Amino acid sequence: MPSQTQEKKPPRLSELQDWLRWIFTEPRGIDAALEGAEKTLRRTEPKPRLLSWIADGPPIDVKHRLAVYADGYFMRLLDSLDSDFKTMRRALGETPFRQLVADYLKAHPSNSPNIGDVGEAFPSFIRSHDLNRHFPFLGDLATLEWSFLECLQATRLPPLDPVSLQKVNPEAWPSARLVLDPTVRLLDLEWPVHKLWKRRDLPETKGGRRLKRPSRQRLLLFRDDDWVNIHPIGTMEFLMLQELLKGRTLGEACLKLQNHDPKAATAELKSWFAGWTSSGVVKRVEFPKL
Amino acid sequence: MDRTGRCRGVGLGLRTVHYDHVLSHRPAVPWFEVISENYMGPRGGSGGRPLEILERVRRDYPVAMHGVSLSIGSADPLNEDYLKRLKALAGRIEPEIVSDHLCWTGRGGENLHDLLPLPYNEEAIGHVVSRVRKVQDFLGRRILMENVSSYLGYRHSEMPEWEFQAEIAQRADCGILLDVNNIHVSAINHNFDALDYLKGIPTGRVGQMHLAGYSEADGFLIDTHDHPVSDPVWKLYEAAIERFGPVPTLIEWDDKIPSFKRLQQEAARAQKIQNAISDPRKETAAAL
Repeated sequence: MPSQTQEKKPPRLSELQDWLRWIFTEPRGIDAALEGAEKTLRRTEPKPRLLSWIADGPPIDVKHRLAVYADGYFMRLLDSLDSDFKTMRRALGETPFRQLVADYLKAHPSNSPNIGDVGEAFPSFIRSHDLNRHFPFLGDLATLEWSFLECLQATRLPPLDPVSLQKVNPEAWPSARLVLDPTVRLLDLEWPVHKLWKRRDLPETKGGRRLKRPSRQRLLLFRDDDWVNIHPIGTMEFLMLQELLKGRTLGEACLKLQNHDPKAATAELKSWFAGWTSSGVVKRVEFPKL
Repeated sequence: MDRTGRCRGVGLGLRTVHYDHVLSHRPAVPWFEVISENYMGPRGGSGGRPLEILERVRRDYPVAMHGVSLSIGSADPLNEDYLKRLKALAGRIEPEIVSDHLCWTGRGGENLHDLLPLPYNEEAIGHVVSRVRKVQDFLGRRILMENVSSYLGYRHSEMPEWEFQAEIAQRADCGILLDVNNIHVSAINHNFDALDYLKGIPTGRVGQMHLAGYSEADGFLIDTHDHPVSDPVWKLYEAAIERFGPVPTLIEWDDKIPSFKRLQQEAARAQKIQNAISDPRKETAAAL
């Protein structure tokens, strides 16, 4: 045990918790924290040497008692990120992923009651991490995995009633606003990470784990009764959905797309619309009140 | 005082790996317990698919909501946003029981996602009691506070854990969720008699019990919820049922989760103990 300065007065609850949090969350581990080598530590010890107030006794000593919590802290968050960024872990391998998580937690300790929120800043963190220089697809991959979780956790709107659409006057369509389901996510990615996503349950030795060349990929994510759907879609459909998400009417969105490829947009619109309504991407069609 | 509503007998934890089985087979389980945070959704979000599943399960079963992040013993202020979301979920699910742990889980805005022990002293009692009262007022219902497994204690504790828990329940007028496995784990780790714990808990306050499995390393126990209930815990459970009566009990199994059938076997064993102790004739007749 390191030498300790005996505190005479019992610590207040706040002091004790400050100290324990400092001990348990020190990324370099319990030994570094207890040795008090402050230059190497993340934070300065808040109330030095409260160690003397931790009860000692068999079957294990104080240091090991503290280590149960300190080890548990890291493992719990690692497990959570491992499960939320499974494809990323597969791409990197266990040890580099573990190191990445340790770096991440130093910069972004959990501050939410829900452990599932801990990965919120993971995509942006990875884009600025050294690993991204070696594996530049990682940022897009993390974005896809986090978007999947957002899609899973968003609340769906009730299904669209197809009969209601049959009564619509054809001339009214340009003024229609399509309400997309809140689970819809549109991703414009530089790397074709969907390929890796589809292999996420394969052993690391089967199927490629990494990408060598960028190739722009646009993805549509939405959830139906069963699960999250991830579909690569074409540029025009992507742009159209983007405009609709901004709240533009069908007519306004089509006008925007005319700068790109008006013929394609007009020709495809009917089949896109049929797909969006039948799959649950579009949940409501609103018309201006007369 | 009925603190548990329609939760009777031995329930099971609702876990993602069993969603499909529960929804498609509607197994004979008297009630389910859910981890509240798993259905509150991410920050700024909603419950999404997990909440859709829970609402479907709720149509057929009574549900108990069990939280892990209330952090009732933290020196930080109560998290108002968390409480609002908890209340909204309770309003939607209408659970029979709402519970959390007698511990702290974070400090300084940082969440450690662990159930950390408090010192058993007057300062902690006063602090926790005022917060439990605030939470109960806000939710408009009584909550149950669960004893946690602990791996360290404090020299400035002024009383045993059972006295601390009983005092808080009394002064805050809340219920007790007695985790029998946690009592055994802490008894081994801190060298006290688990039966003393049971004797120190007032009978009228216990509204629910938990049973689970632990891991062992060099005589030290860790509450891992990844094993069947151990023999010493079954024995302690018998003593607990003798003292507190047939309190609704949950089998907790959160890691290396077995088949649903295996969980039901574990629940059946607990139910048999409840039946034998609360109505010995029933068990004798069943054996003949």
